[in-house]
Parts: sequence; structure tokens; C-alpha cells
Amino acid sequence: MGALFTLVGVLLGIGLVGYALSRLAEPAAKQAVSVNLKTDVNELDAPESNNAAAASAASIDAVSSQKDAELIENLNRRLPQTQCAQCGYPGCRPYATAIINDGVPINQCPPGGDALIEELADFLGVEAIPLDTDKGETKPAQLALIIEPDCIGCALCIAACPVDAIVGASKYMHTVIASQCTGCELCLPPCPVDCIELRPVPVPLHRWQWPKPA
Amino acid sequence: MNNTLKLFISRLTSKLPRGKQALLPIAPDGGLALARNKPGLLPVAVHIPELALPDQLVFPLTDYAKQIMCAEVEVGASVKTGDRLAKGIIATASGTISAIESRAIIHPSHRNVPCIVIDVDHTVSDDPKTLPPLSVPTVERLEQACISGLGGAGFSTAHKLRIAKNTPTPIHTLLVNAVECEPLISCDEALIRSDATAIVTAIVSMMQLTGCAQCIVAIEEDKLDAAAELSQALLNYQTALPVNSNDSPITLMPVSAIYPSGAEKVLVQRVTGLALESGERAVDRGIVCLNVATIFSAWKAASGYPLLSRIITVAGRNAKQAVNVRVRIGTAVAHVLEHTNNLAASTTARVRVGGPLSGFDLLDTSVPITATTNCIAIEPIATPTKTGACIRCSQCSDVCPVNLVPQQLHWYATADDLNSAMRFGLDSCIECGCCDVVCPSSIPLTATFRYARTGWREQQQQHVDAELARTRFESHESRVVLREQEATRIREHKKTQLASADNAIGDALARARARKNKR
Amino acid sequence: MSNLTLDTAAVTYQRRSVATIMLHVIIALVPGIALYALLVDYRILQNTVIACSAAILFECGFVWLRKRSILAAIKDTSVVLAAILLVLSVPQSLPTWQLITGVFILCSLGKHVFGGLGHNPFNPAMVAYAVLIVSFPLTMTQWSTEHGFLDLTHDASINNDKPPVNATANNNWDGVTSATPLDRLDAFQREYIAQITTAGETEPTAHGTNEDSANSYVDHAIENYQISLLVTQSDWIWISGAWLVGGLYLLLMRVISWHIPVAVLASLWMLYTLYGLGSSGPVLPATIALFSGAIMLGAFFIATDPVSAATSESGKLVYATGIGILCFVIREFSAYPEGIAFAVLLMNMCVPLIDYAFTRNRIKRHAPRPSDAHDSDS
Repeated sequence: MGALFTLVGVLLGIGLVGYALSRLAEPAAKQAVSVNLKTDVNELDAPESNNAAAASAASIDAVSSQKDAELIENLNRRLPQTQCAQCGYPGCRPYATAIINDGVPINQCPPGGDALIEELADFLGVEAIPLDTDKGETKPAQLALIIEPDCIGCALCIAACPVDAIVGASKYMHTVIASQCTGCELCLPPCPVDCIELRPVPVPLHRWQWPKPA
Repeated sequence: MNNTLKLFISRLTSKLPRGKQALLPIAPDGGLALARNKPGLLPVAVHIPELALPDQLVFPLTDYAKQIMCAEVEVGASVKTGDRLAKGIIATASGTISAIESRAIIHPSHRNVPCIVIDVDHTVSDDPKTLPPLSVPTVERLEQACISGLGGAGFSTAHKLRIAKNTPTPIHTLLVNAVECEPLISCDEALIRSDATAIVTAIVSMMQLTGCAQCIVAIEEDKLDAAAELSQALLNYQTALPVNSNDSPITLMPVSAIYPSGAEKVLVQRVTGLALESGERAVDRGIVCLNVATIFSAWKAASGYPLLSRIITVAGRNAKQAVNVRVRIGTAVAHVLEHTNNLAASTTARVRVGGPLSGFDLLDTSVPITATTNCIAIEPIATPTKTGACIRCSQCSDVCPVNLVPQQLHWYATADDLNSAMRFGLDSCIECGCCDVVCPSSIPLTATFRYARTGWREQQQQHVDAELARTRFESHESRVVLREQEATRIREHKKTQLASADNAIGDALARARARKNKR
Repeated sequence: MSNLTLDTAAVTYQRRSVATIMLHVIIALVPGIALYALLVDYRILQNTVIACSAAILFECGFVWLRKRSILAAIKDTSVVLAAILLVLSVPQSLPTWQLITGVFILCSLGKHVFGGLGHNPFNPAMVAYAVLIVSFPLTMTQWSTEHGFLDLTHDASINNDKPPVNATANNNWDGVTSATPLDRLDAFQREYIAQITTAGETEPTAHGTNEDSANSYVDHAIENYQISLLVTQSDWIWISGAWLVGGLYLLLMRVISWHIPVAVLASLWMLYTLYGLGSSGPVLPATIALFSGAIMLGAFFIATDPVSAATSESGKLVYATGIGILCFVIREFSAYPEGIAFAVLLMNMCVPLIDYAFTRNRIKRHAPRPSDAHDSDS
């Protein structure tokens, strides 16, 4: 009799745990949906696990170039897209390519900072390492501003801007399109009269955030 | 010593359950069954007094989403009542524009925002009828008269109706929201009691405008007088109908007075039984939900009166005089307080706009009233309660009117795990504050959700910005590559040209040499 | 206007603090404790006082060590409640130093190593009980019942119809040491099974007639009746009744939800009924079994501790059913006569899993619209 009851108990237990586990599988799927909901930015988050597997496989260099390209694309979408070249590569995509193809460490991006390193470590299945401060420090978001009376219209900054956020023509005053500037600082060195300043990004009222309660 | 003992005993006994106080006011379907006879709650007068016109009116240059807009008038210009100042903003009195400058507005950020300031000219006759009357209301007229939601969000009514027209689901029901946003507020009740017949007419005209075949008017069951007057007016309307249509398309639906039944999402569920999914709107289910005051002002707009004023409830536990007043939009809160005899009381209390539960405190009462300001609550300054640890009592999830699990959300929100918080429906939170009220550990749940919601919005915006930067960088790169390819092509071309030119010279030389040798 | 503060929390109308909730639970325990003192053993009162004072002292110490507000920690009275629950689950004959050790474990291992109130994964009182029962098995299982206030004149041995079993524990005969009814029940069942087996060996096929099987059926009924008497005649059933009354008070005051007690009692009742149908030995009738031992106390007061229990409604049902099943298994098939403490602790362990599986968004998610420009509101 006792054996029978133990058996029933064990079966019930197995059933319960099984049910619980089957429900566990759901949140992951739900999460993918929720991430995709608001914008299509995170569209490629869903096949994450496949990509993570591919990431470890990439180091064994036995992956088809197609998968590699997909992985680079996914990695690129996680980078902050400042295009500041502080990592030593001419933009975010080149850096993503270098991480996948040449095994460059993931701690070379100052604008992304520690949060990005953690995300990339999670995504690629590698260990998170502290930011390489030789490349630069993490700064709050900033915006370039041309001091217009000082601008001589040399058009050098226009060529330097990686996201075409400066408008103007030779011998005419230039200006920065604030909504498209990433604050990468790449326009500073070419300016012959030092008329570009970086200012903290002003938070417009519709993007104001409630403070976190203590 | 005796006093200390008494104090100790009273402290101890205050913890003991006493009568109804012992039971939590949690309603079975969520929400709080808060009694309406709270101190500071007003007796609803039939006549709504009109507040004296102030010397200065201020209009913030923001739309409902708080984006800054451009002014369409210049400083020094004189404007008449009903003149357009910017998109969706009209002058609510005649006068001169004295400034367009940064001023404090009703916003939890307490930041200054560009505003149009009008010095009111009291000598000019003040006729509120500024538009030619129409026989039927049109969406264009609503836009012209700047009708926006008078409930809470302040969404443009014209825009809302256009969205309703463009949704794939056909619109079948007009849901008239006559349920107050909070137990303290009674501006809708005051409006119904002032002219129930006109409201029925307004509802009928709105049904024509939206093309709804049926209409449900939701009202709290404890608003006895207002409900009786409204049902009498409905009866009158019905008897005036042709005989063959014995079935009135307008139904009066009493809902239990449970906070927050006035929120659109909750009201739709209470009235129709449809639980809106996260991210779904009432129009997606074929229901247009409009506040009763909005419908009334839309009807007035059709007869030529743009939205110049709104009814505001001034009440609260510290209010000297609780009253419903009609206030010109743009009037300073301080002016309202002064003319309702509450200015002295407000200096030692906190002034909360939007109601005690879902509103926020003002730091500066010079801010102007907007179309969404439904309540000025004057409440005692609360002694800050110490936040304790969550004991997982799950009363917050019992009370949540939209079926969330606040304790779990709070856990994710404080850890800044916004993805998980969204998975648990953070975007469905209506920030009603019910969970704050029941939490035994005094955890600031709503404040945390507000933080997390704006944080999530910012995160999404950053993603959009990054995506923009990425596409721009990529097009820039491809252009650079193209330019380089073009340069290389030209260089190569010149080289080959040069090479062929070299050959031509060589050939010529060779020919010349050959000729020389022949000689 | 500078005296206006920015306070985003809603203005409170009514609020029930943690202290009030704990106070409600303590009030609900009072009738049970009173009956305990009147009918079984008055020493529960002195033990409660000792345990509560020790608990407050230890709590102060730990809170001071953790550099938190001592006043806030004492005010929530949760530690007092935990101490009372511990006293209720140990024999009143437990030496005071062992009781205080238990309270120390309650505060330290049960509560503060995890970060204090709200962070403990296990029920602190049950952690202390588990540590005590493995550390002091002798004093924790021998119930030296002195007497209640009502039967001071009676000889203790009348009330406990067994001669003193353990003379070594109390040399100077303070009272009569005996097992709890459950211990006796266990012993009774073992004895019976032993009899059956020996009888089966000696007379294997002597009487195989219908009459005999009918007789054995009657015997069986008599056995069952006797075993029921063991429970119903004892004073413990009144105390169980008092726990039930207290539990109903908590339900009425909406301090606890019905899910946990109902699921614990229902699962136990069903298991006992099934067991009674299938077993050949003497079995407690299911309804009486619910009033035996600490089941009522456990179902209403121990398993419902919100901190260590599951939170969602379905999660609570699973959690409580698990407690019922484990409690039954431990009672019937293990060396321990009572299983509620271990059942609660084992199910506490499963709570994160249960919560993860059952606490979820209760709203469905709408498919994203192609043009999600604005959110409309009233």
C-alpha cells in the first residue's frame, strides 16, 4: 500500500514539475514577441539562441559566410551606432565585422560602455571584460554645435561627418542637424577654426523621464 | 507619564481592526471601492459658476504628447476670442499678445516651456460664439474649435474620430464616459445636472457624426440625481422619436462606483465585458469611447462655440470651499484658488492636479489650466512613510484593475529589467495608484512604474535614433565607396589613355627611326 | 510655495500596514493558545513570553548588526509572530535553552541571513523547528504534558491514558512524559501491523470462510473507531478547532486568501479517503485526520506565510496541494509522526519555480498595428 502511495506521489510530483517546465518554455517565446512589438529595431532578436550557438562556432572557423554575415548584422544592431571610430575601426559595422572575423575583444566601444559589453557577452556567449579605457571613456550623450559666426565655410567637417548630419556648402555657413547628430566628435579635428562645440543633449519635454524612486 | 501611557495605548489600539476600516476596500474585479463621502467632497450644485476672467491667459505651445509647436502669431498682435494661436490652440479671450516666453506649465517635470501670453482686454465684448453654426457637426469643425478629450489624456477629438474611421473594424458603439476619473472629482456630474436634455441632444449628434447605431452611457450608480435626470431626458428623447422605433438606441448603464472605472480600458471592460489586450485600443473593437464633457463641447462647437472653458473640481481634505467652477482655459491655477477662497488653504497644503490618486503635486501655482485639468485637489502634506520590504502579500495584484502583477513588475522595474517588465504588461499599466494605496509596506509602486514606462519609451526612442544613424552611416559609406570607385575608374581610364598615348609616341618614334634607318 | 513637496505616491485613504497584518494573525492565534493553556499545558504561556522576548532581542541585535532601522524592524511584529508559531510547534516540555536556541536560529538562519523580512525563502519558524528536531530529537519528540489550567486537580496520567514512557528525560517527575496523540497513533498502527504479520505467519490458512472475512471487516471498523477515539477524545481536537476558527477570522479579514488552506485540507482529505479505501490497517477517517496534529495550524497559519509562499492564485493552489501531498507522505510513510513542517519547507524550496511558472502577464498581447502612431485615451 505504502509503495502504491509513494508511486502516486512521485507521479504527481513528476506531473507537476513537467507542467511547470512546460509553462517555463512560454515566457521565452513571449519575450521575443514583446521585444518585436514596439519597433522593428530588435527584429533580429528572435533567433538569438541560434546566433549565440553560431557565435561559438565562429571561433572554430567552420561557419558559412552567410551565417557570418547574419551574425555581423545582429551584432551591429546592438552597437550604439555613434560611428565615432573610437574603437579603431571606421564605424560600428566594421567593428562588428572585426569582432566576428578577427576575434577583436568586445570592450573597445566607449559610447556603449559596460552595459553594451554585458549585452554583447550575453549575445556571443563570451565573458564580459571591463571597458578598454585606452579607447576612451563613456560619456553622457552629446551633440555637436557649430558656433556659426566663427564658421568660415571650409566644408571639411561635412566630409568628416559619418552620418551626414552637417549641412552647408563651400564658403557658406554650416550647421548641424541636431536630431541626426550622434555626438561622435569626428568633426572636431578637421575644423581649422575650432568653431564646433559638443554640448550635452537637451531632453525635450516629450522625452522627459520620471525619476527613479529612492 | 499618564499621557505617555495613553499615547502608547492609543498607538497600539490604532493598529487594531475597527469596523469597516479593517477590511481593505479592494473590489472583487480589482479597483478600490472608495467611499464618495470623503471630507472635502463637494455637494454638487445645479448651477456651475463661471470664474471671473483673469488679466492674463497663458497657452503652452505643446501638443497632447508634449511636443513643442510653433506659434502662429507674433508678440504685440491683438487677438479676438476664438482666434487661432497655433495648431490646436485658440485664444479663449480677446487681448494683446504680450509675450511668447518660457513659463512653468502643468507637467510633473516642473520645467518651463514656450508659452503664448495674452493680456486680456476686458473692454472688448466677450462673445463665446465665434463660429457660424452648423446643422450637423463635422470632424473639420471639431478641429477648428480645438475640441480635445476633457477626461484625462487630452487627445484631439477630431484625430480620434479619424482614427476610428480608418480602423479596419467597423465602429458600432459609442461609449459615453460619464464616470469620474476619481472619487473626489464631480465635474461630469455637475455638467449632467446643469443640463441633462442638452447632453442627450449632444449624444445623439455625436452618434450621427460617428455613425454608431447604438450608444451606451456609463455612469456611477451612486450618482443618483445625475442618473435620474439623465434617464428622464433620455425618456423624453425616446417619446419624441417616431412611434415605430420603440427601441431606444441609447442605453443608460450604471456601473459600480469603483475607482478607476473612469479609465477607458477599465470602463470598456466593466461595460462590455471585453478585456482589451495589451496595446489594443477600444476603437480596435469597434467602440468609440468619449467623455461626456467632450461630447457636450463637440455639440456646442457645432452650434458655433469653440472650446474656451472647462469645468474644474476644486476640492480636497484641506479645501476651504469645495466647488465646481467653469474656468477659461489658460487661467492660472492660483487665480482659480483665489476666486474659490482656497488660496490661503493651499499655502499650507499640497496642490495636486488630476486628483489625489492619479495626479501629481504642483510646485508652482502660477501654471495655466489646460483642457485636461479636471481637478485641483488641496490635500494635507503627508508625512513620508518609510518604505518597507515587499512581503509578497499579492494584494497589489488583487486590486490592479487591469490585471497586472505589480509586485513582479516592481521587481523588474527596480532592477531596470525593462524587457521583463514589458513581458509582464508594463505598457498596460494605467498608473491609477491603486497598488500604492493597498501596499502594506508603502512601496512607491506607481512612481516606479511611471519611471519604468518613460524609461522604456526612451529606450525605444534611442533604438530608433540608432537605427537612423545606422542607415545614414551605411548610405554615407556606400556613397564614399561609389565615389572612390568612380575616382579609381577615372584614374584607370586616364592611365590607359596615357599608356595608349605612350604607345602612340613610341610608334611615332619607331616609325621615325625606321625612316631614318631606311635612308 | 516652497513648502509643497513633490510626492508622486498617491494620497492614501486607507492602508493596512505589515504590522496590522501580523497583528491580525496574532489575534487569530489567541483562542488556540488560550485553549492550549487551559486544556493541555499552561507552560505554553511562559514559553511564549520567553520566546517572544528572545525573538525581539535577537531581532534588535541582527538589525543593529545589519545597520538598519531597529524601530522599523520591531514595529512590524513579524518576528513575534514567527516566535509564537515556533512555540506552538514544539513540545512545551522543551528546555528553555533549547527554545531560545530555536528562536536564535529563527532570527538568524530563518530570516536575517537572507536579508530580513520579505527576503527569506523559507518559513523562519519551520526552519527553526527543523533544526531543533534534528538537533534535539529526544526532547523534541517526547511531550511531557504537565496540565492545563482546567484540570489542575486531576492526575495528569488520567488525561493521558498511558503510563510514563520516558523516565530518563525528567528524573524528578515534574509531570508525565508521553507521546503526542500522533506518536501514539503511529505506535498503534505499527503494533497492529506487527500483530497482523505474526498472526498471518502462525495461522496461514486456518480460517478462510466468509464469516471470518466479515468479522475482520467488523474488526477493521472497530479498529478505525478506536483510532478515531484516540484523536477525538484528546483535547487536541478542540485546539485544532480553535485554529480553524482563527483561520476563518483571517479569511474574513482578508489577511489570507482561501487558496492555500483549502488546497492543503482538500488534498489531505482526498489522500486520507483514498488511503482509507485501499488500506487494510487501521486508518483515521479523513475528516478526523484533518483535525489531528498540526494540520489546521499548518494550513491556516504556517503555509499561508506570504513571504515564503507562492503568490499567484494558481501558484498558491499548486504550492498548497504539494504541502498536502508531502505532509501525508511524511506522516504515513516516514519515521516522523507529523509532516507539516517538512512539507512546508520542501514546498518553500519549490516556490521560485512555481512563481516563475505561474506568475505571468494576465493580459493577452495585441498584435502590433502597422501604424501605431498614437495611443488614445478618454
